Amino acid sequence: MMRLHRLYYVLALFNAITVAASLYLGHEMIQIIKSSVAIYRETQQRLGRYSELGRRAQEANAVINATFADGSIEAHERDFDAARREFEAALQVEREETARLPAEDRQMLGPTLDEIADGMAQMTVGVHEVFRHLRAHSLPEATRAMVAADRHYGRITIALRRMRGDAVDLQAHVLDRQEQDANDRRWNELAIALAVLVMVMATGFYGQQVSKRLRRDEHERTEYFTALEGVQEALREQAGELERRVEQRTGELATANRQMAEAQQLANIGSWSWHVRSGLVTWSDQQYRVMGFEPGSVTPSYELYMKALHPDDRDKVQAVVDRAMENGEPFEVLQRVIGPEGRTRHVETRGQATRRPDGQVSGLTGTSQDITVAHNAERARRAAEEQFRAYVENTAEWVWALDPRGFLTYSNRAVFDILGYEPEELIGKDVRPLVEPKARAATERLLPEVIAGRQRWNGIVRRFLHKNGEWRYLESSGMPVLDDTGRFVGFRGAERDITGRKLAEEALRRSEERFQLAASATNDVIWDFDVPTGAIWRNEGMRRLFGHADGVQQMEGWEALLHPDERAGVRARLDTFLASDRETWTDEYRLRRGDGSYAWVLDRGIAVRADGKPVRMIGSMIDISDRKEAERMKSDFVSFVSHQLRTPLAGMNWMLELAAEAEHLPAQARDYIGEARESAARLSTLVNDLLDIARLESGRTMMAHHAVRLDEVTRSVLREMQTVIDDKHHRVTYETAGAAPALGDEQMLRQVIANLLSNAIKYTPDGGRIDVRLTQRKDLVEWSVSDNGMGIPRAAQGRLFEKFYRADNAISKEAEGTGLGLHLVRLVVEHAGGQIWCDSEEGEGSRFTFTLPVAQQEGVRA
Amino acid sequence: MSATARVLLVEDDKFLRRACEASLRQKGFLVTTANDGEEGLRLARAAPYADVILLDLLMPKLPGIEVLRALKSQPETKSIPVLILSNSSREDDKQAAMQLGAAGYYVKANLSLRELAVQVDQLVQQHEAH
Repeated sequence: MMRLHRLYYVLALFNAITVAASLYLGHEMIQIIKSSVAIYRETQQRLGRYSELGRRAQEANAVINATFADGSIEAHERDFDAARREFEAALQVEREETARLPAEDRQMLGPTLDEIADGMAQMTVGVHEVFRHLRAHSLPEATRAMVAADRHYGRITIALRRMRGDAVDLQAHVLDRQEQDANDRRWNELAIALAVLVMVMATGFYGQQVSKRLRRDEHERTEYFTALEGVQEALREQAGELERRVEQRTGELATANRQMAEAQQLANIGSWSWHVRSGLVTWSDQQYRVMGFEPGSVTPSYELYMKALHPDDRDKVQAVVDRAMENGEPFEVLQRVIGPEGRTRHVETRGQATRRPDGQVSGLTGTSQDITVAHNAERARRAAEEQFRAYVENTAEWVWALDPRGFLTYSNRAVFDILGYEPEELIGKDVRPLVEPKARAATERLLPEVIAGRQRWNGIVRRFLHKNGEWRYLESSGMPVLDDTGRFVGFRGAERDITGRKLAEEALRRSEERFQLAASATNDVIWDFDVPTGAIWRNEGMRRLFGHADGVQQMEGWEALLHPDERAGVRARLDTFLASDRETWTDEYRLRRGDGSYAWVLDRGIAVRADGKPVRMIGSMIDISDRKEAERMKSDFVSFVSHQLRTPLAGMNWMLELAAEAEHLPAQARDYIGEARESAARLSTLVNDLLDIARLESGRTMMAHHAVRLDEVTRSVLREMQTVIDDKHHRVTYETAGAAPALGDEQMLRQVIANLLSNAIKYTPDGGRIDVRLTQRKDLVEWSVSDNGMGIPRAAQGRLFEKFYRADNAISKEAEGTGLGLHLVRLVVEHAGGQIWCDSEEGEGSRFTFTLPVAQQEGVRA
Repeated sequence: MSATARVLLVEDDKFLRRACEASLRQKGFLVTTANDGEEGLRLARAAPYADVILLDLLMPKLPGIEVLRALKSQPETKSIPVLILSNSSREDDKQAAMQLGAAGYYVKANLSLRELAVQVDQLVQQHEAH
């Protein structure tokens, strides 16, 4: 390495020298070039100066010529002098320049300059001669002088020319010198080139050596690191192995500790030790917890322990500790510990003494167990036992225990209430005779099975003989009792007095029997509707009469059987009934038979209510199809006949109308015709009424239910009747406090009002008083008309609204009346959902009142 | 009252027919009568067309309701207003007639001739307005 190092320095030096030499050579060459250029330039300048000189000389010469031309001598003389001076100046410059040259070079040029100077001087002389002669106006002299001057000028020119050549020669000479110089340096060049070559080769060699060395070093280093890695690897393995072993040992240790701690925690036992002289106390983690602390949160000490004890237990514990310290015997003590959070724990401490080598007691060590749970459990158990005992003693059921023979070993007080015996009277005795013989035999038969199978029994009902000779029904439950070894040692059970229930059941059964018999005997369908659940039970009449299954069906099933036209109405009326507090319900509707045809049914029921709410309805359905059919036929007949009656009626009316309009009618005939028309009108009314009644009764009418303004209708009817009222000189008052529209058919209600008013007018003697009132009470509209007329006998009032009924006093009174009016009135009112009644005193007057529901919505149909 | 108003009366009862015809004539209408539905329909279809038709419902041969249906389905008689003069006050009958396009429905026994004339006159004037 050292060798290379030295080589490096040598090489560096050599390189430096070579480079320096090269640089120097270079420098020299440049200098040569520069001087060559300088020489060249110098020569050019010289030549330039020579030219200048030439020009000056020429100028000077020219002056002479000029002088000859124009003859102005002074001027030209001046010019010549000027030119000459210039020439002299230029020449002087040249001399100076030449003086700078090296001696050898100077020699080449110097003489010539002198010659030129001389030439000029001569010329000057000549020129002055010229001027002199010119002045003297001797032209030929002048000319001769000029020629002489010219000659000198020629010399100058020639000398200049020669100098020019000399200058060029000089240049060549100098250049030769330069070339020689350069050639001399050729060897230097070569030497330097060689040196450069050596430099390059040496450097290369050096570089190679260096890289070889580096490679070798690299190789060595690699080997070294490989070896190093190997060693490291081995070390790591060993370290790993070591760690594993340590971990393992630590793990085992930790596990052991943990198990110990867990065991302590599970059992809630802590361990402690106390070295008396130093006062050092150690607690295991669980010991802390037993004492109520977090492990490690306090420093254990005897004082801390004592302080934690319940005040009442301190003396006890102290005494135990003292004794243990004295005699070294193992000890145990139960104490209460109050934790820092205030909770009391029951702790059982066991311990023993630790002894010094010399046998003296040095301290204590042991365990403490938190037995609070067990302690509390024991207390709870005892309390439960007490409670149970109290319960058994005081229950209404007769609780007993028998030995295997069947002799009573235990009985609670209830036996007195149930069978009339005091417990003391029966204990130790065989109680089986108290049981009804029949039941007893059955029981005895089953006993072996019960015992063998260790089965409980429940719900066995037997009759027992009360002390007073009466039978009681007792429901038994019990089980055989076995001891720890499984040996049968007796029975245990309870009896419940169900005598009351039994009697009730019996009564119910008989009642049910009666009912069933009655239900079968009748021809009607008997039904029982449980309102809350919606279930309806029917007897077999359902099958017999209508071809449906008897038994229980849901409410919706019954609804589905109703005729679509009636369904909503019936349902609505039923709901209204259920919501009210009425007791009886009745309705008529069509029910679909099993074969699809419809039967008319009269349905009646009674509601049983609890707290005003209906819980049950019981009723019967009668098939009134026949009756309805008869009614319908009658209705149809009435309808048919009425229509037929109308045709001749119309004929009569019209003919009479025509007759009344005939011209030239005698007055009497006119009267007769008038009365005939009145009669016909009455007949018309009768027929209309009959038809209305027939329609309403047939149940097939769809009376329009709109909102009818009774106020307007009343006023309108009153207006119509004004004539009759005036004829009879009645005083009619009409008062209304305003009422909502009522629900009904306007046309029919108009008839109702007209009818009632007409009656009032009719049955009141002239000059009577009629009061009409229209009010609203809650959701009912009330309309009434009172008169001070004949009144209605009490006996007749009940039958007033029957068809064709006219009270006796009415009939006797000659007033027209078909007896249809009120019947129709009632039908219309009731059809509209209202009510009508009459208050009357014979001889004083009557008041007819009807109510109608207020129209809640428009267009509700019945 | 239009003097040239024509009324066609279709009614099977003799007395009614005579009384109605007389009354209407007195009041200045030109009255044609038919005894039954068939005749009534035939007369209705023939020109000159009536301005108003009075139609009974209960008739032999062709019931009034059918006559009404036929009248309302034929272009030449469709627009002639028809008054039903019936003796049935049944809602069904009335509805059926009104739905078929009858201009009115009256129960003869409750209708005076004077009222009838008024109705006919009104219908005639309405009809002329078209």
